[in-house]
Amino acid sequence: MKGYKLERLFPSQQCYLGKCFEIFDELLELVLPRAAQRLVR
Amino acid sequence: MTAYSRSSDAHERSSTNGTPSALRCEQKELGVTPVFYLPQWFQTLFMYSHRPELSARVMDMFLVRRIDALFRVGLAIIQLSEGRFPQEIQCTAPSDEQTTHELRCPPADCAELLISQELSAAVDHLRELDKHQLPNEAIMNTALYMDALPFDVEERLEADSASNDGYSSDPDDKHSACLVS
Repeated sequence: MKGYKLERLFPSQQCYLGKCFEIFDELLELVLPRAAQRLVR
Repeated sequence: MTAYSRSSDAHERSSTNGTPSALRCEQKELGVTPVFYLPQWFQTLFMYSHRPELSARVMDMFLVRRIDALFRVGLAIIQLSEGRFPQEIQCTAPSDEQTTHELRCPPADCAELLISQELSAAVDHLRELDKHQLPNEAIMNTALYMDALPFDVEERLEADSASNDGYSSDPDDKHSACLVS
């Protein structure tokens, strides 16, 4: 086992984390309003 | 197309219901992006908080759900922080009197300084879980019982890596080679 496969797919940890930030930001847009809606119901 | 497949759609619907994500709006206004708090959370698997029980539970979830767990716990913290943003760092529209005063005698770099202090306070608030005492149970329950994420995080990372970078440091690795080809 040479390491986590995703880590090996990205040129650097910064690049990998950068992609994580983008995805997290996108999830915030999608998930938070949905949770707020559920609370109202 | 699913009901939540477009972010703009979700945001629009939440706004029309009068329940926009207040914290998200505040974050945007203050310029707080995940870059400010996510490294601390992800790089330490939430162990920075010196809350062993929370760390153990995050690790437990991480072993089962893999990277999905980190995103879920992060989203749970943001969700639970909703409405807990300290009043002093919330973006409020200045009163007419205040605006007039500032227009009359604008101190040099005052606005910039104010923004950076607010930004700093907002980021600290998100980073310091101990400070606002989010209970471990609440964080983990929110993360566990959250609806399914709109997409598979790991698959997205793999897809982005394959489409954008096409990079693999290990050419002999068949799985990686398959993904980047």
